[in-house]
Amino acid sequence: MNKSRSTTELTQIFPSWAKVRSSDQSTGYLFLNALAEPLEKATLQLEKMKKNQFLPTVNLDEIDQTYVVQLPATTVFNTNTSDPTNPVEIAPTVQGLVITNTSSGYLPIVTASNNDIESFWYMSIPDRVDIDMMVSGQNDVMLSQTADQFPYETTLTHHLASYQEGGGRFWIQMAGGVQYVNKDPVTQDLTRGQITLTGTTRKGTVDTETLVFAWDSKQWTKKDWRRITDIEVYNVEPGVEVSVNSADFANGPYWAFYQTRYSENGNKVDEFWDLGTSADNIHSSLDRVGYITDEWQQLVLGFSDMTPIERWDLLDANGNSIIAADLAIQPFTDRTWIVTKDKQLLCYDLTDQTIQSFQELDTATPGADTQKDIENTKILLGDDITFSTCRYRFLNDVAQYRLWYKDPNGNSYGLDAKGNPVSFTSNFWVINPPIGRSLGNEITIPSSIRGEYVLGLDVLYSDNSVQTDKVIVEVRSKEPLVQINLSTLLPTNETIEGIDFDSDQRMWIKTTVPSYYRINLHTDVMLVDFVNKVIYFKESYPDIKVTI
Amino acid sequence: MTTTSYTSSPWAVYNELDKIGLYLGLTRLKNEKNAAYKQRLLDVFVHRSNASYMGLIYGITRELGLSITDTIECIPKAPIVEPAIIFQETKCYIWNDVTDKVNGLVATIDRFDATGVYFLGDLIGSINATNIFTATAMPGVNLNSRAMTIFNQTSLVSVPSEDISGPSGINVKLKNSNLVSDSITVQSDNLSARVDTPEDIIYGYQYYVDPVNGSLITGSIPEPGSSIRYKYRNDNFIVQSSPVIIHNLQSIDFQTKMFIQTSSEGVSSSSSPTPLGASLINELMSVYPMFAGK
Repeated sequence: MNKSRSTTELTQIFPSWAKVRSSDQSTGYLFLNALAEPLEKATLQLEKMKKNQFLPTVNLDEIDQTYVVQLPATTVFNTNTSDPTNPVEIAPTVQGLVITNTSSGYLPIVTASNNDIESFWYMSIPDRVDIDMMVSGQNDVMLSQTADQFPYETTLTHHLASYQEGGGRFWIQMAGGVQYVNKDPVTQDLTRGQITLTGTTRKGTVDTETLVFAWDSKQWTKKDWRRITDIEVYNVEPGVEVSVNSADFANGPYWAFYQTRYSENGNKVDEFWDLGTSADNIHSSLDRVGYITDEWQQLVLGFSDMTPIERWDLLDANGNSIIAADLAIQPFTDRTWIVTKDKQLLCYDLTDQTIQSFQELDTATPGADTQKDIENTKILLGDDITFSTCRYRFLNDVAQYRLWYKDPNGNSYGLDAKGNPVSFTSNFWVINPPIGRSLGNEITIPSSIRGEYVLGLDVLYSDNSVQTDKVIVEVRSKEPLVQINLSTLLPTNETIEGIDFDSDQRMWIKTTVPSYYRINLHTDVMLVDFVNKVIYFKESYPDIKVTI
Repeated sequence: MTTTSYTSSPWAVYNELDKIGLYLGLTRLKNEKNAAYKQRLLDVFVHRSNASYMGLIYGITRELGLSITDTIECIPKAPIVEPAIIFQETKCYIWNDVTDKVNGLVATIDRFDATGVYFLGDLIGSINATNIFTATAMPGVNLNSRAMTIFNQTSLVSVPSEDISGPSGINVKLKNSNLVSDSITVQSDNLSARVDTPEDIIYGYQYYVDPVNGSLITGSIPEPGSSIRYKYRNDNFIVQSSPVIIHNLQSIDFQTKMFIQTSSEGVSSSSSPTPLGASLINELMSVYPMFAGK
């Protein structure tokens, strides 16, 4: 089940010490999550509708151009009658002719998963790509200098200005500053870091745009520009490094498109995504990143460093780890597209999942007197699972206890007093443990399998009562929704450097030359109107074969 | 099981952009995707369409889903006095000194006839040959497009009114430099006489304009409401073009292309159509049934 970002907002109604608020494995959290998911869906729809009211922010991936085939009125679809009370019509087998520069052939076209517009247009995953534009001789990396070197009056031309695009956003980054919000010593007015851009917009008008910086951050212009002719910086410390680019390649962290995340303290927080390194220090992880503090007052004071909040190992379609070059967040979606240096393009779902084996927690004792104290329940493969035992209530003496765990493959192991794995069928009860807050030393188990480990603690008290504490540790990874090989499309002597979406929501891949390749995403999917005998397609095909 | 071949047809789905298009009076073109439609909708705000020459260029270009593009960059070669490049009707005029109406015009390039400077590539070559401007095609420009796709425009930019009253006092820095010296007019209740050097200012009603630096020195602080009108040289002139070419039959320049010119007592006038003129007239008449005479 999807873990909603809004669940944390709902759990704020409980006191801070409540488990529903501190643990996403609690029954209360999982229950509220079921309510939060439709709530979040409505929130995102409202956000999308709000953006769609204004031309500069409208979603360009809204359904616009479909292609239809009208079947003869006499067409009779096959019917699945396995449930005689509810016969279901079966979609025909359809193939579409696809012609590229190098080949042509018929590709299968699949029915949208729910055969509705949402699954047909908005949720379907592209399954092939082509390149429809290449830009070379330009560079999106424009300028990087300290704030005291401004104003800058040399023309900066957008790397897409002279092509069909006519320009686009500029990205401004300020780094190395301490405090951007100050009081003017003379007037006592509040001052904020600002950068003012003047130039020619994508539509050819002379215009100005000001971006406000409250702490070190990266922002994009709200206007589309063709060229910038003047840049002025105000109220920023002289040593702050200001960089100006006309795209956002290989420069994480990246803003999440939907900003609906709340911290455990109930504060609205900014959400970012970035590439990290797996435990083996070779392969890549996908990191959800946030500021080290959730209080804006601290951010304004300069505590604006970022840290990974959650991490996942990135896998390819075969389940192998990948070495990623860059990622880009697809606008108006919860998807990220990742490129590797060996020219693979992969799409991942950014939505988090609740624990899968929550039924394992059914037999746990709610609020057990003795529990495991575990710092991190979300780790990557190769990280250690480290925990200790802690007595929260001294109502009865502990007569004996045992620790055990079940790995993601379902194999259970006991742990002896020193924390070494032993056969689960052996007697590994520890009798008469030391009297104190902890029953023993800290225990470490290496994670060797991706999935969910169940850690158990059975305690027999002096009154013969038995309590069980269970915690699930996730060894996290993400498998791609789709993987596309770009090696036949890109020149063999060029290495991929980054990926980005432009202001037209079109995907671009940058190589080290630098050259820029605009990627067309294609989705071979159809929507069948069984009543009117019409098939809708997302792509245009010169010829379509329908088999009924 | 039977397999049948079909051909799909486009099916547009109304969305939020179409709604905005209704507000702006600009409907979606057939097969037009959101990204292209958005750019056309934004264009409504920038390039206003109306019955003027530029209004027609903007309107027709947009309605047909075409685009106005940056085509040639023209930079004057130093040292030139007051250079200017002007695209007007079928001609491209290149001035060495735009203030010298007698000897300042260096070249008149006819870009209409197929036998002359017909393509953009030819036009760039002709401009460079004058040694007044360095003309460079912008990336992606098709040099085999017609030179007439460049619509009427000039490297001289008019500023109809710029306020010179205010906190600057008697030393006013204008928004632009490289002013065309014979295009400057000051309108003020207390400034009425322009002098040639700052040292010549003796009385409060006198003022001096430094056209190169774009500054103004006045004998007294300009009264509220004082303003200056001028033209300035855009020395990084980027010439734009549209696939839409509009001619005015009232224009003498275009009439010479449409009709054979006869001269009588030193006055030339249009007579019978040229082959091109006849072709255009026939095409115009085919649009709607018309009869020449009865």
